[in-house]
Amino acid sequence: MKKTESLYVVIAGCGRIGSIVATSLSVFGSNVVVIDADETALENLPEEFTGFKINGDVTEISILREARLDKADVLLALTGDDNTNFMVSTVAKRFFGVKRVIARVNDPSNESIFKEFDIDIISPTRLTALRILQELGVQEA
Amino acid sequence: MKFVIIGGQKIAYHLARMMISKGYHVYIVNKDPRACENLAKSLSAVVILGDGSKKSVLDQLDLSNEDLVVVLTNTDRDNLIISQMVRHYYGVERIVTLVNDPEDIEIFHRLGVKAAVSPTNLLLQTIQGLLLVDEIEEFSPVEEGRLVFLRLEIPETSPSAGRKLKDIPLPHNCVIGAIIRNNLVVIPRGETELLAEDRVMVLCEPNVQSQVIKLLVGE
Repeated sequence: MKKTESLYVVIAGCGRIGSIVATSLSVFGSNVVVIDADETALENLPEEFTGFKINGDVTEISILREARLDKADVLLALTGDDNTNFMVSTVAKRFFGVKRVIARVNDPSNESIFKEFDIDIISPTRLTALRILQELGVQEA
Repeated sequence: MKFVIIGGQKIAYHLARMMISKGYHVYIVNKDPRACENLAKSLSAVVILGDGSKKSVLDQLDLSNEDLVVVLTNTDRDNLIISQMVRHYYGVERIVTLVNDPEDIEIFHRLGVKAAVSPTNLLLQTIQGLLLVDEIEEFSPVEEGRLVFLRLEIPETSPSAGRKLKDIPLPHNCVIGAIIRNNLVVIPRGETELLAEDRVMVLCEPNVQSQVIKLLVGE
C-alpha cells in the first residue's frame, strides 16, 4: 500500500463510494475533508474516520472555500450526480488550481466532456460491466 | 440559424415568443412534461421533452456554430455542463447562460462562458440605484451589469456645481459622456464647467457608482 501521509484530500459526496474512500484515506494518514448536503450521510461515517466533515452544497463556492480547496492536493468528486461532479471538478481545476482532480462519472456518455477539461474519470458503470465480463472470461467489445 | 432555449419556465416562454415574432426558428428543450405541453400549445416552436444535460437530447437539435443557445435552468451545475457540452460538442459560440448564484459568475467567466447573466445581480444594482437619491433620473446596468449608465440632475447643493470637469476628482473608471443644459446637448471637455440644473449622462463601473453619485449630486 502506497503511503499517503502528507496528502490533503477534499471529497465531494459522502454516499456509499465517498464514505469508503474517505475512511480508507483517513486511516492511512491523509488529511481528509468530506462534504455532503445530507447530514445523516456524514453522521454515518465510521469511527475510524478522523477527518473533517462539512455539511453543505458542494457546488457552492463558499463551501469549497470553507474546505480550503485551494490548499488541496487532490479533489475527488464522488456524488451520484454527474452534473454536480462536473461543476465541482472544473471549479477545483480552473478556479482553485487543484492539481489532481478525479471524478466519478456515472453516465458513460458524459465521459468526453470531463476529458475535455483534463479531469481523470472513474466510471462505476464501466468498471462493473468490465468486472462482470472478466468474470465470464469475455473481453469488452 | 436556430435559436435554442434550454430549461426555464416563464422566461423561456416570453423569450421564445419574442424571438418567434422576430422571425427566428425557435427550439425549446425542457425536462418538465407539463411545461413542454404548455409551450407546445402556445408557441410555434419545436419543443423537445428531455434533459438538456444529456448528450442524446442535445444531439436531436443538430446544432452548429451558426446557432444561438440560451441556457435557463434553475441550477448552476446544470447550466455549466450544458453550456460546456454545447460549446465543445457542437462548436456553438453564441451561448447565453443564466447564473442563479451571483457568486458563480466569475466561475462561469473563468470556464469560458462569457455571457453569464445573474438576475439577482441585475436586480440588486437597480435596487441600489433606487435607494440612493432623488436626483437619479435613470439607472440602468448594461453589458450584463459590468457597466452602469446613469442620468443625474445636478442640484444647487452639489459639491461639483460651478467646477470644471477636470477639477472634479472622479474615479478613472467613469466618464461623463454628455451634459444636457437648457435642452441643448453639450459634449463635455475637461474645461467644461458643471452647472446646477445640468443633466449629466455618466457611464461607470458598478463598483464606483456610489462614489460618482456622491461627487456629482452630494450626500
